[in-house]
Amino acid sequence: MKIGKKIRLERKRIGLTLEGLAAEVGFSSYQTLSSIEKGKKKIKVSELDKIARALGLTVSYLIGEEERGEERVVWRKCTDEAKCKRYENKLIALCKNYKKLAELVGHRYKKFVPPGIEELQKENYENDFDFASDLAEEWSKRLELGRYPGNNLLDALKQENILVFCEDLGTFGSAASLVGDFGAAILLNEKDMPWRRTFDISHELFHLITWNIYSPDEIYDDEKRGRSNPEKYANAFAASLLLPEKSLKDEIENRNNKEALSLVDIIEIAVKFKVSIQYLTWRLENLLTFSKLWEEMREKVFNGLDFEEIRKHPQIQQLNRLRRDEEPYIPRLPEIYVNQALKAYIKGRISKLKLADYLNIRYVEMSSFLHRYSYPDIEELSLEGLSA
Amino acid sequence: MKVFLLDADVIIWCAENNKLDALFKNRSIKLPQKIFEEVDYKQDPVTQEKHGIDLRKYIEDGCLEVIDSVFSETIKKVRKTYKICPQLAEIQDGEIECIALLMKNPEYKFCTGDVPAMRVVGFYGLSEQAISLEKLVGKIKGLRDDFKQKCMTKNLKIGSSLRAQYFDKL
Repeated sequence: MKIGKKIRLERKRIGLTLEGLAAEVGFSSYQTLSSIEKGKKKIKVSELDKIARALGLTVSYLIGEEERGEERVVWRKCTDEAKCKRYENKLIALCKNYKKLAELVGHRYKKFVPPGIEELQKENYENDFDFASDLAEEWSKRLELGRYPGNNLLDALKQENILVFCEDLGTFGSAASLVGDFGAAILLNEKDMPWRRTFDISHELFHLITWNIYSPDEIYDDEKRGRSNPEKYANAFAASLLLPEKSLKDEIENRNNKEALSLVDIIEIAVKFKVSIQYLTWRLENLLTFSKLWEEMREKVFNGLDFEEIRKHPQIQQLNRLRRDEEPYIPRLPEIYVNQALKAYIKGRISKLKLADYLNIRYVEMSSFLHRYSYPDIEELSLEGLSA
Repeated sequence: MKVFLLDADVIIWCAENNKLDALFKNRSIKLPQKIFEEVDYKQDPVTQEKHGIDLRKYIEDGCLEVIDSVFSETIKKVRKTYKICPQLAEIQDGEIECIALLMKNPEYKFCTGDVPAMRVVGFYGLSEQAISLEKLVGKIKGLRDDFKQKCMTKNLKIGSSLRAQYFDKL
């Protein structure tokens, strides 16, 4: 397919008008773009680059060096389809880059492959909530998440080669998950609170594990249709994964045996498990309903408020906001991606300027970028592949 | 008159070391748009403060012209070089454009400190059209090794020898 035709196809696929894309790219008139799309005007190098960026695609794809695969992206919440599609393109391009970089350095990584339906044995369960809960227990063991899973989750996903990207999705989109020939990836919203992102990772992990069970049409959470069942199961999975029943009960009982629980204990436990106070309270209510301990906690810690009241309480919301700065941020690009790009550079498979492209940064930002990932300056990295 | 094409690393290094005048003055320099956009600021690696690189005065003086090539078959060919010859690295689009320009314009010379780009220049038999920063502006104290003529010569040679090896695939 010719470049112009492909641009037109991709522009329409993400719902952008000629005028819209032309303005984003910086054309003074949409006629220029129209002529390019119709093949009447030859495209310039910088125009091609800008159009590819605006569509979230790579130049390689637009000129036919790369093909679109069978990738599928599942969004949790998406209020602006055009913007979500653009991020989908970007996410797919980054994942394809990861695969390409691995191929360039001859690294055969073990891709994450969603388990088959038979393997998951869902038919053994009467209800899907029990299935989700047991699945969480099984995966917690498999990923060796330990007593406080939220602290180890991101590292554990690295071992599974699940790429976790972070982007500013504003208010139009929540997290997304993706499976393709490169493996699997999760996209988070960097605007979300850190504990929200921990929750999002575990929620999306459920979708990746159950990729072959629930179809994308079954997964939605919006104002019109409400929350679909698979979304509820994903939440149940996330709750069981991040706040395992035994660890949580032990934590509560140990503290309660020493002295009566206070709000400080609840905050500390939430920090330890990397979840919000509201989420912790919700889980506790689920696990301890009708128990003497829960009634005591409600009375003494939350002045008799019920869960809904606790969740909306301004003081509790403020406490969560205050925690924002204490939590480490999740970098935009996963460490395993950055490492792969650096390996390709060190082995002489990509130039340092191309490295900047792969890292989605300007060449001048290289030093500060590498420092953030605890690497030295680019010039200090050994160029063993280039010294021959 | 010789026309010089510059890579982004050359401009950024010169900007960081107050050598832009030495680089641009009394020369005819062309910069692909892609590279021009890459070098609009420099960044302090410690404070992360951004400082603009103002190349407008060189444009006004007529020393610098920003160009934007039509995406051509030649560019497509250079893009694929690392696939044809696995010993070579994938290089950036601005560098690819420069090398494609060298192929069509024998009077052009390309100045880069990027080792993989030097090798691709050698690979396409364009060694005569490559120039190191050291050779272009003369000896400068603190010049990085990859901007020295020794590095350029060595890597052009590597590219040339690969050319002989892969000649049938070119």
